[in-house]
Amino acid sequence: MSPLPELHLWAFLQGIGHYPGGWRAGGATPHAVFDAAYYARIGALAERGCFDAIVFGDQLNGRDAGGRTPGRLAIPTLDPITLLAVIGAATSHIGLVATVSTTYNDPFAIAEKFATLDFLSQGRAGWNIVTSAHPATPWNFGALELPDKTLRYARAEEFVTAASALWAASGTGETVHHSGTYFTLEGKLRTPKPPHGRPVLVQAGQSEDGRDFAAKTAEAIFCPASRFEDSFAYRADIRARLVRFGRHPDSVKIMPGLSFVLADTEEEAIAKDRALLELAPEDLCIEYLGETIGADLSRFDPAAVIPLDAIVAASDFPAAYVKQVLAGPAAKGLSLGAFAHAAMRTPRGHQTFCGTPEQLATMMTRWVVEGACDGFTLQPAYMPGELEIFVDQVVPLLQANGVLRKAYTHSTLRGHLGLDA
Amino acid sequence: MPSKSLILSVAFDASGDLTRRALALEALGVDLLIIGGAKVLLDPLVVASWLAPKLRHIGLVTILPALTTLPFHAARALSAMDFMSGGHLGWMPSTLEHDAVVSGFGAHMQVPDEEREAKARDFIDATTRLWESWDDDALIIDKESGVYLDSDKVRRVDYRGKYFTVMGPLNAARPPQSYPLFVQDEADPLHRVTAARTDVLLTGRTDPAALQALRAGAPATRLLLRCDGSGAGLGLAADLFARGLIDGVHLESAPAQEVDASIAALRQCGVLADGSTPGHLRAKFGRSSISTEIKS
Repeated sequence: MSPLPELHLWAFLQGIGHYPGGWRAGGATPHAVFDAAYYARIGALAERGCFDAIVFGDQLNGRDAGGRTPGRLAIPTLDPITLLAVIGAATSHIGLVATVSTTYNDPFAIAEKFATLDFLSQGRAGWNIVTSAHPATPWNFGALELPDKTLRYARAEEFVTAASALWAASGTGETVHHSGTYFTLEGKLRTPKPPHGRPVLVQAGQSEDGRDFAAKTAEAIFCPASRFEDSFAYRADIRARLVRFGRHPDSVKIMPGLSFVLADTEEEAIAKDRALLELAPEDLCIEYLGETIGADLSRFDPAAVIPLDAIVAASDFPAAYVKQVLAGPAAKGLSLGAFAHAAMRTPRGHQTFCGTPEQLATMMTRWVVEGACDGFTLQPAYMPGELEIFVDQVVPLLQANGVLRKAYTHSTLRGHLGLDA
Repeated sequence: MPSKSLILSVAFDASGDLTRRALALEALGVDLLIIGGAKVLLDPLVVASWLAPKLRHIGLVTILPALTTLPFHAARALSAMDFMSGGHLGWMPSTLEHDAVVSGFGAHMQVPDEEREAKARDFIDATTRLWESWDDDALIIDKESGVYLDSDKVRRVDYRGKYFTVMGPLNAARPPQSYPLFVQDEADPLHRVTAARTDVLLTGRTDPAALQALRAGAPATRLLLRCDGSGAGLGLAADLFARGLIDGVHLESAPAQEVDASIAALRQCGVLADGSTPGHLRAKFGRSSISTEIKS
């Protein structure tokens, strides 16, 4: 009988949790995100749960909606690499994955930061490779508009190539010469060589281009997958692409997002979820929506049907961007308030599970054993309370099921992923 | 006015067992670790973040390339670091290493000599304005009312400089110190245009008249004499300190044993503080702590 596949756990920690109103939950500690002690604590928590890694998301724009900063939304995150270095210093095994954009950064500087984190942590660093997609981001970097999507991907590919060349040359004394469309550089990293020479590369790729990029370069992939069938199909698709690109199908771990709310009974979990969502009253939802489309929506009547043209005029973002979000709901006659509520509740395609720890463990085990994924990227609704519940109550069940390690067997992130050749 | 005890700064190599070395230096009463420069092979900000959770009150001053770093990235990484260190961050924008590192960024990033001060100044101003996009008391974080911050206290910056255009607001709260400690090296031509805001200046001058002139030009700035870490010149430094011409020393890179011996020698002179003073770095060594604050 073949051994059970390994279930990988990653914790995707964005500020004080994924629910916009989550910072108000009883088990949330919103003040703590400014203290080093908090990060040491959640690092220890994730290690106790035998997680592969902690991931921090990121954005390169401030909270802003048409010139007014929303007053009810929490800061998403502080600079990820800074936080992960703090966690790294306080832990010994947990992987440290930072989301860094290729759109408004330089390969040399980023390669050096990751090499430093990877060296200090002795092989625990990872890079979640993204492109910038928020219309306000270019304004912080001397540009008016984002480059279009195809160009962003092309730049990202070249960025990764250049950074990889720098990492590969690390410790050899050789100067890397890279000459391309987006970057021309000549340099060598001064950083001493980490155990594997380079951080683990992580991506999220949904489109055709995205899937190919991920299949060519990633070692772990995030994806949204609210249903078993979707996740299974995505994993099968990526594995087929890997083979096409000459890579072993096991060389990439597929990690769908998983949001969860747990309680002693399913009914209680559903009620708890509803209560958490209700922490985001209408004015918070409207701020959240306003931030998404770059307009201060507080001056529109929330009970009235979405005034599409007026909002487009009020927004700083391109009209097409705003219409993509609002045109459909406006045509359906939805009020601004109702749509804002609904939009806040949709965790962007990721699965939200409401139930007991036993039910969650059963679901997660089934997905991994039956090939829908290699693990999960947990997105706690609020921090640290809901993650503590997971580690205390779900982890032991996964371990008893034989799919989750009871102790670390490696000390590098690649090792935890089973990719340590 | 000099401080009563000598301010002790040490160049931090970031080699070997970093944390152990940093803790040892903190225990010896060192006030500032300056991280960066040609001898440091690791990224200074990542090193500072790595050290922060274990250290209690020592200042961590990171050297930042002023000509190849983007203000938005610098502002938020430094803000995060100031929080993680509990208000013990300093920063030292520098143009000194530009020629050595620029090829990694591409030839187009090479800044001609005559533009370096202007571009570095633009970088510093843009970074500072991004911090100012948040008032010190913007955060409210009241679960019951659901108010996280005061919207009137966070605003766009719309900075337009010759080299940088940055809208803001920053996606990070105002650093606990308001402004991290600002350090400069006299060897860097940049120091000429940053004098009005420099909290701490490293100098190589030993001539009393020259130091007096330096003081007169920047009465609110702490002057630290660059000394060899091996201890050569410490006697002179102690004398200059006694005469109020300098406020401290910066021990440059040397083997750990030699640096420790130098520190012991200074302690024997009776010029070092007995224990460490708690508090934010800027409150201890900043211009404002001399009550002749000049808002830049």
